Amino acid sequence: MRRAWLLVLPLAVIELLGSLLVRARVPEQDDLAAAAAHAASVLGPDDAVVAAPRWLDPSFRAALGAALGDRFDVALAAPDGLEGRAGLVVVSVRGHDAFGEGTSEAANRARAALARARLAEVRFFGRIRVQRFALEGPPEVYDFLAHLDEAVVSQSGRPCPRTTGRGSGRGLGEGPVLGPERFDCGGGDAQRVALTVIEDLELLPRACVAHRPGGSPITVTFADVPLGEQVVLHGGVHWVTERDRAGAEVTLRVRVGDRPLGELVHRDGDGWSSTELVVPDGLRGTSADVSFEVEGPPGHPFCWSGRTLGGAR
Amino acid sequence: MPLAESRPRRIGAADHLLGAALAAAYVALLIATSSGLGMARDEGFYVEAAESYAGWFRLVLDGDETAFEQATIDRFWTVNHEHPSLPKSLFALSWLAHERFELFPSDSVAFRFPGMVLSALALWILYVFGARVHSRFAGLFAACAYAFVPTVFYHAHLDCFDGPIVTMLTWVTYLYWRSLTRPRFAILAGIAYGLCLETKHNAWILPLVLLVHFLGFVVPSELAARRAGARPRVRLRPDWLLAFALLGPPIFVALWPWLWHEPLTRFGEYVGFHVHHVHYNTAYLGTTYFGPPSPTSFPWVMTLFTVPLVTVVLGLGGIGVRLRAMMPPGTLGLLPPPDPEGRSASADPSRTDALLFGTMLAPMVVLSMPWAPIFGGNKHFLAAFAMLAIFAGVGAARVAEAARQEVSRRQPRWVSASAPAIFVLLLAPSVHETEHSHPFGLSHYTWLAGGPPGAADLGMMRQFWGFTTGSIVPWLNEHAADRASVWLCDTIPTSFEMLHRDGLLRRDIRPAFDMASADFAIVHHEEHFNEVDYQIWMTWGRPAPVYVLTYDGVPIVSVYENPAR
Repeated sequence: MRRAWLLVLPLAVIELLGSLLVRARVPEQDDLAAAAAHAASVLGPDDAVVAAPRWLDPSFRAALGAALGDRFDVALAAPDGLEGRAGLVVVSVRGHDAFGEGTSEAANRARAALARARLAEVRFFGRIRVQRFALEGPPEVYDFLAHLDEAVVSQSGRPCPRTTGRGSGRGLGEGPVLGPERFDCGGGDAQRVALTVIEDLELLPRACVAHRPGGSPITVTFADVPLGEQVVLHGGVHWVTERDRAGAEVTLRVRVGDRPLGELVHRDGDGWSSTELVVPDGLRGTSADVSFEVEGPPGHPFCWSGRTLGGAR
Repeated sequence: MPLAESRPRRIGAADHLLGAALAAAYVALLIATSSGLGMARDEGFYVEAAESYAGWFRLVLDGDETAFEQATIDRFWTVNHEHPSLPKSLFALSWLAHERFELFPSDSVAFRFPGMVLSALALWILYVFGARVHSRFAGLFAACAYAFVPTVFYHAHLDCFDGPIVTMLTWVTYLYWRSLTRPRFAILAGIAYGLCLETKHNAWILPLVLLVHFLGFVVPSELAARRAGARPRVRLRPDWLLAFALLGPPIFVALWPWLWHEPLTRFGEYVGFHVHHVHYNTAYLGTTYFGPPSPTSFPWVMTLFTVPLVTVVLGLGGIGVRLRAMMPPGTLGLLPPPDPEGRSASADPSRTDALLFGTMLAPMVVLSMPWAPIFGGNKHFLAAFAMLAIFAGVGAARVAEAARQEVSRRQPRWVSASAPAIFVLLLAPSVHETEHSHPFGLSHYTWLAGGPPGAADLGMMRQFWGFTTGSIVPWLNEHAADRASVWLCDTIPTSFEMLHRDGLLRRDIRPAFDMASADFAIVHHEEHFNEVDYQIWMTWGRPAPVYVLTYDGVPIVSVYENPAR
């Protein structure tokens, strides 16, 4: 029994060596820069790019920003989903796979899309792996978020003019910031439609259209939209608002011309929600005006994104 | 002489000298490593409080007769009245001394010095406590094992209360223990308890823990011994509790001027603040908690992930060795036959092991409760680590004794070197991890968690208090344009200003209060601060930081540059 105490001695050696090993396995900054440069070089215009695990994201964004310059925008940094994407570039360390974390519907959808994808390329830069996956599924035809500046916004038939504002983050608990280009229906941010990035229920960034419910409905209309075969919608609410799961539901209604196409219903606690709306036979492949309205409790900081998708790739 | 003693030792002046030397060496180490550690958010609050209190001390020293009037007291002492004043008063006095005599290498050390001293005194107490209860080897190992827990080393640097309250709790526990067999120590225990109350509210639960020990272990054991014919060994009257009650509150009030004119009302306000404490955000095993219920496993897993594994294993081994001695009365039959080297419960009238075990468990159990406020980090149960360190000392002494016997059998000429060698080897992982953790003590996780990257994989808290701004100073000094401004995220202006006062940060680099017009903005990476990242992206239209401070590859602070500037 006395000798059993001596087993602590090799444990001390193991702990010491283990700590040194942890440090030795930290990826080099130069390798991350090279990996990001490679990711930038293989990144197609319809691709998404993510870091795995999530905690690598700030370092990866810094490296990718250096490689992409002005091509690196918030929509690329805060993807709303993989629907319609041609490819996915994953920069990972420690053997992590993309979307390995999270139990939300959004995480499950992303994992399912990745499971169906074909690994097109893999390269290593030191301890960093860069993979490019070719995604299946119908391609994107039209991205509403990317065309937000072409939209017409109105409230009860009264146009909401485009204005340029100055958003400024105010720190923890102060909520999302609207982009400088807004449609202003009067009444502050609650009555503005603009690009924003929310922190979803898993605290992930989601680039989306800030479009709050309440009062007279605000209508956002996109003219002459190529409809493809389906419309995929995403929606969510800023984490701090949604996390108590105490709010009422928010409904995003979509119309093609005067005809209802469908809706996305978001309940607090759903996290970043998604739905697909099938374009009716008579409208498939045509172009039409598409409008969005939001109904729900006043001021609920809802935002959405969406795109139309074509036939199978 | 065996390393694992079976009876309490006599402790003399040489032991106290060694304890004092340990504490002094620790303070010297803390001062030497302080400049690399940016001021944490709460440190900034306590600097503000200390400077205000220093103003009042100046009035008193100048003989101003209005100093004791309520209006004057409130003018100086209302700041940060949610915490008692003893540590902050010491910070203030240290600052006043530095103003006059330039005692310290920097302003931040002037404020931090009392916290360092109070934290380091725990080593002295742990050495003496461990040596008296078990052996000098055990006591020395306990002191060092506690000192080299990375988060203990971090908190011991600060002008905060978390290091000092461990010292106070351990000191009160020690004096209570002494008072059981030497009643005159009860008075000292009462005085110490008053100082403990005046240090931090963690003191509130200690009498309850001690009372459970006294009524549940000491009294029944003593009664049983007397029934068996033994002469009285401990006094059954709780003199210590009387001393706590009679001396604690007066000392508490006397040292806190803010209470003087309206003691009951303000005491109620103080208690109310802590009873209704807000929940902070903290990441734990992949979930960011922001409200009750608090995860029950939190203190246990955090202990496993932040205390070096060898210390934990030695501590658990020490608990195993002493298990018989900490069992409640009447339960010994549940255990295997006694270890022949172990001191039996009946031989120890003070039921020391039960006391150490109970005071170790108490803060962990309190913070395991689902209704416990969510704080994050392990600073609220550092006192458990102190007691765990004593058990680790017991375990280390067992390892050293086993090694000594093996060496004496195989290589007798090395036998005298075996104990020091074992001491160094068992402490080496702790020293290495602590050295490596600095100045990222709050971000450090041990090898068991996979180090900082493993903990990040597991979704553990990264940091809090925004102190890591201090670690981006070299980058800012090199890259920021003249008169550049920085939006500071979780660092308060006072803490940022201390970087100027210490001569670390270029004087022309200023804090910014408006993100949009700042030249730089920083994000301290905690999961719930992701929101701030996204705010910066939208404010400046760029999602790419220009610099990311990492620790073992894990992002700690992102620095963004305003593209419009």
